[in-house]
Amino acid sequence: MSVFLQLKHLLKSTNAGERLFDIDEFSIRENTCIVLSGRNGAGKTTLLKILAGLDKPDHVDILYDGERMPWKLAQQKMRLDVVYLHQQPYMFDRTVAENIAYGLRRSGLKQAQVDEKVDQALQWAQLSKLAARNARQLSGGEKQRVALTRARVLSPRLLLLDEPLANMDINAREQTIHLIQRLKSEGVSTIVTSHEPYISTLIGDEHRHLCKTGPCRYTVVKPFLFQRNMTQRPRQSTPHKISESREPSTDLDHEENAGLVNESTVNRSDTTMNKDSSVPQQQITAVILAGGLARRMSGQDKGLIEINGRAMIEHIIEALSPQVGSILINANRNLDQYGRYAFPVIEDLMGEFFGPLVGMASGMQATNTDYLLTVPCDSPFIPPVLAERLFHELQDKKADISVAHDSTRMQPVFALLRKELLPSLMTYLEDGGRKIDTWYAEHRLARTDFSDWPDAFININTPDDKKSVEQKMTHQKDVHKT
Amino acid sequence: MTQLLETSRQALVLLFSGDPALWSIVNISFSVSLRAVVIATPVAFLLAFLLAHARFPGRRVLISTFNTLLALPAVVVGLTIYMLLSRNGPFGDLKLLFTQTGMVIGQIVLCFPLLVAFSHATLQAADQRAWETAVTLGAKPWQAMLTLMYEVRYGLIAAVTAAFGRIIAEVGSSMMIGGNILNYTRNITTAIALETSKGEFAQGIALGIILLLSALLLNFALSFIQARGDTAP
Repeated sequence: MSVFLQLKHLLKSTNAGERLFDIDEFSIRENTCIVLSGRNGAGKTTLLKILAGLDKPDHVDILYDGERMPWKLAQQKMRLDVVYLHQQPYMFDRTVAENIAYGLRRSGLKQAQVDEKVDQALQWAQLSKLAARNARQLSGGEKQRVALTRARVLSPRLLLLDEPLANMDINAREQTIHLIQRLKSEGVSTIVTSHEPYISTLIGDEHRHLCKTGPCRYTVVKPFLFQRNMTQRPRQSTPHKISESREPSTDLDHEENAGLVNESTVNRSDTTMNKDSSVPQQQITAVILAGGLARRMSGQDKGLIEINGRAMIEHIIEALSPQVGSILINANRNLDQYGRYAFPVIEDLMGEFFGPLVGMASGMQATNTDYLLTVPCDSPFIPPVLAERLFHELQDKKADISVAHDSTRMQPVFALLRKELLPSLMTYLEDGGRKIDTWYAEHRLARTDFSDWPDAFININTPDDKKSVEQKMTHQKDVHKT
Repeated sequence: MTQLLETSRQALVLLFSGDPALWSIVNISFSVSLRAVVIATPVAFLLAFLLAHARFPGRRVLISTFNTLLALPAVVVGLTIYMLLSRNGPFGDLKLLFTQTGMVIGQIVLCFPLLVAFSHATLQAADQRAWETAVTLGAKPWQAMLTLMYEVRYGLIAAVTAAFGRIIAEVGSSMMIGGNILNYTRNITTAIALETSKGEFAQGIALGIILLLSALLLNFALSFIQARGDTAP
């Protein structure tokens, strides 16, 4: 499928002059459905309006069908080829049939042709009964269907749907999803923005997340491409300095630049992959949950606290790298710093600091591997057998979730989950649920014993914890060296 | 008292007997004011649209200017145009003084600010999505503009009605520019002024009734239209 529209170096500022986003590249292939997620205010709607030629970017280089062209010309083509649908579709104050005929009447068709197409479209969307009604008097779901039909009769190349499922009841949702799927089968490319990640599993071919990676910098991340090999890590937004000169460092106490995971570390981990062939390592994505508020650490971002000179998250990445196929970092603050580790940084897909379940859901949504391994960002002693053991227990018990258990209690954030749980998790979250234990209880749970790894669940909640962990780590290393 | 009753009786006779002189005056009034509104409206709508949706330097000043000009006294408009059109004035060669065309010009000047101010307020408040939806469905900018105007049609009709109501009832500019020539530039308001000064109240009252009825009718239509616009979601 060929790329028909490609935008490069897309810059857009808000009216107040603040940089809204800065996107290196955004291309749209024919016959593809892209699900676009991102926080409120990340610029999803603005991006769609630019793609529809309704809003003007500060700067953009456009390739349209491979042809470079100035914005004005591209804008005219976009207005013809692309149709944008508002989150709450606007209905002209006329009948349903007249609404659907609106674009056709302005395309130079004869009256009879317009009438015929409108009739067909009304049938297609099962709106024939409503044809003579004033479109303003319809329900939200009906309006959405009229808007989709009104766009479809124009045979656009690209359809932009802004939150098409927002504020809809189950029935209207199903109908809308069904219509979108049919549009897809007719060869129309679509971009759908949504807060609801499971829509991407229903209709999406690609998923992109509009992600804030710094105070004023947004970048499009494509999480679906992230699985596979660790060495083929995605390009990151900030320049990535891999110091060739640096030794494969074992001296962890003296890192001036605590920011970067040493490339050699990761390479080494690739070669020392887990030999146990029964663990489908490539099908496991690890999510480091660093999205919390860390109230007890006076709001300091836990993942970035330095333990013996390196950020905590580096210790965790190092421990996880040999165990899984890919790593995601779930964070809501300091995205720039987390972005430096060259792993995709995923923001919570809903709410404001709603807790670890949202982080898990965000991770599940951002990957298409079969399993998701979650770990907290404040437990630096991750057992090297974590993924393996959790997986075997999951298999043995035929469970959906495998949770780590020390001798006394469950450690719910150390878990391996099946990707299929995403819809259930989303429903739970949307219904207002936040508690891990309650949600876990709805599923087949395997408790995996880690009582032989007493340090595994040590976490850092207070500055004192930090000191004792540092001592322990130094001690372990000494033992290791000797 | 008996005199007042007597003149009122005469007025009603005049009204219902189809007195040609009376109806010629009414005809002139409506013809002049209608022409003024028909000419002023499209230009005013276009300007109002630009003020509402285009961004250009001086836009704010223009909006304030038109809002201020709502208070323009008809006599001052009459005086100014009289001077412009009089034989010694810059447009004296056009020979428009004491013609219906002159009256139309005066009334255009009077109703234009009102049309712009009212329709600007209406278009400004229009749903932004209407424009975007029209454009994304392939409408050219001018088509989208017409669509937007259609969407807010009740507000625009109200503006036109209010403008017509203002100029059909004004006397100052018609009197000065038209000159109150019988069967040519004598309209309802100038006729009432003349008959009253002559002490012939019967025709004055008859014309007054017509003016009053049209004003009431217009205002009723106006509030009806506005109510209609309000109920349309």
